[in-house]
Amino acid sequence: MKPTPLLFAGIFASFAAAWLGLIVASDTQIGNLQPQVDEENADVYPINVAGLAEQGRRVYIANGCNYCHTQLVREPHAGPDIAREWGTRRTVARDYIYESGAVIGFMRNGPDLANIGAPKAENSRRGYVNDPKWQYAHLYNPRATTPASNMPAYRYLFEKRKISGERSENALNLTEADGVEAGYEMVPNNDAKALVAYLLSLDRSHPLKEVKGAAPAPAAAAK
Amino acid sequence: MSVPSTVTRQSSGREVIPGELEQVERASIDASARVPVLTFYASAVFWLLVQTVLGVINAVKVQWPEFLDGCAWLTFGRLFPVQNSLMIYGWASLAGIGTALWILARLCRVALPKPAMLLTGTMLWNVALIAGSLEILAGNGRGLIYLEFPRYVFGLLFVAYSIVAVWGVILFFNRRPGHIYISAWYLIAALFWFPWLVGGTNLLLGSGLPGAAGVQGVMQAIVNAWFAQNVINLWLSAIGLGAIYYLVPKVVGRPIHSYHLASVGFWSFAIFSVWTGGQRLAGGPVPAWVITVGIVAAILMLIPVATVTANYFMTMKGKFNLVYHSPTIRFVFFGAVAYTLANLVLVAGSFRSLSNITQYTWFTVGSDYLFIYGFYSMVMFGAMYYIIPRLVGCEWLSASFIKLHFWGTAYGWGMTIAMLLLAGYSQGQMLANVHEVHATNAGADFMLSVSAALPFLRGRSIAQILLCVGQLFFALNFLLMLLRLGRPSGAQPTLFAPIHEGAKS
Repeated sequence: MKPTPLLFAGIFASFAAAWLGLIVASDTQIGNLQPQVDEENADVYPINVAGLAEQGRRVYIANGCNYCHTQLVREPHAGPDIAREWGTRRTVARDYIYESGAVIGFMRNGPDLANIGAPKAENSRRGYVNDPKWQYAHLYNPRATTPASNMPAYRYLFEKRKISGERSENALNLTEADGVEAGYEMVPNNDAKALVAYLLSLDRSHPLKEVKGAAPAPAAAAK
Repeated sequence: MSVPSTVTRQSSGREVIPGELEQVERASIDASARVPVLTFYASAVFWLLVQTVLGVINAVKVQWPEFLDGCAWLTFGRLFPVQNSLMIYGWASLAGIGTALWILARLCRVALPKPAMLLTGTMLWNVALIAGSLEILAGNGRGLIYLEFPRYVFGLLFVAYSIVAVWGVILFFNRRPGHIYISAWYLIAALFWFPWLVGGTNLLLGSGLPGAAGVQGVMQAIVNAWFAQNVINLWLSAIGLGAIYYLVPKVVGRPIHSYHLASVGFWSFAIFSVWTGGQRLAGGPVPAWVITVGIVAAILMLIPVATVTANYFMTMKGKFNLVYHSPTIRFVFFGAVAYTLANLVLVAGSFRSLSNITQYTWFTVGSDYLFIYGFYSMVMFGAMYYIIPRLVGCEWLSASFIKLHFWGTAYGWGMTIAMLLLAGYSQGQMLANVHEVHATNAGADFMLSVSAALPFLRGRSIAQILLCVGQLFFALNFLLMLLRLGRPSGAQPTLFAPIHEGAKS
């Protein structure tokens, strides 16, 4: 064979082999997963978030939250994710069938958010809570709730406005020292509301058949 | 301008016998490449400066979150992806295309046809970069690493690329008969792999949001991880290796040590590198075999890496003093060492004992930067120091500027990479254990990992500032060359120190 056709055949074949063997093969395996349906009580998981939470996912990606926060729980032998109460079981492909791949994330400069919306267990060590007010206060100024945090402040997701009638439910607890004069209030805008709705929708604790030993987290498995 | 009067200008003996005809031919090739290649380089240097400044801002933001905060367009989560994308598609790709076309023209001994078309392609590419950066800043990024631009921007890049790369292929098919040199293998392979990689992944990913045509969630992550590793391997590394195989024999003045070894290296590179990527998702919600394949491929990559390294060192044998004299050789030496290191770090970071600690930390960023900056970008600088004098017809004005550029860059990137790897490791060390002292407070426990990385992230900010200074000297020197304010051609090429007789071949 002449060198040139051999060169081109090789360049083509090496790429095609990996494309088929890696991308097509894994897509065949996990590319068409369906939600798990429990026949008895018609319990479907996962369900596609809609409305405000779906908009919130866009806000999450638009502001690059996924660069510093992951949404994945590893098996206990790969890291103490479960001991940290980031989840009660490892997450698997089926958890993300309605998700963007981007939210799985790259770095853990901030805590994992795979289950940030899950109800807080009794005697939980979790610092953050699935309470919109805590989330708003944290987004507006992370250092107000977590002193040494290096998360950016998302003040642009809030707006100051004159209180008309009653103070709004979501208004932040800020005083004049924070730049909010009497008669004014700082409230989350639509993006912030959507983002918090999305965050609080994140709950991947539902049992899945393919995850064995999905027992509740051992509380404070301190080493 | 191609008078082979000095050691750096001597033919390696690989091309035809030096002679008058060859000089005329080279001059005509360089004349045809002058405007398009310099346009690629000028664009690349511009984006290099932009992403270097963004690098400083982002490095400072991580350790001092109040810096430039509270504004949507300047938030870390948007500036960081812009920096990443401009690093790959702005600086690295444009410098790579310019270098690849020039080397191919020289190797195929064909002048670049219709430079105006190439200019159109470059302009379209730059427009796409501006559009893509503004889209990310406006909140329309996809959040997929190295694929942050919206899909239509990749459409524009694809069109621009097609206009440009088609010339590389035309060059290759019109080449003068004879042996195809190893550099051309790498460059032609890169020119073919890149559009397939970018086109294929973008077709699979859709908008990156669920609902739109595109693969399901975890598949997106797999495609993204595979893309991220292979835009480094198949595109940047292939160009970088092609350039090393061209520059080293040229400057040293002898053919590469073993052609057979080079061929083994190329084919093992082509076969193994495509399978890497899965290790970026270690522990993630993906089938275990995807991760395992990535790890095995990363280990097998040590075969091509060993051949390239051995060939490089054997070719340089006895000539290492050129590192003190020749700017090209000094940058390429740094790059060649970094390439070996980068692959070793990748393999080490794939093993479970280390990946349990370093996965999902700054370590991954450091590992990528070791490839993109430590290896590839340094080789590109080496190539530019070699190629630009041949295009503009004068020599680099100031050896001191080149020195300042080298040390600013070597310290800047070297320290940035070391700091990121260490930051990732110490962050991961803290994350890998749940600490008794914070048994009641998971948040405080987590903050240990933040404070563990902090000293290193501060070190990185300082490194980034050094880097900025180095790049400014490079840009200034480059600008002087564009204005033809260099030293007259025909003089000795600009060296760090004069070469004594003993050093000549």
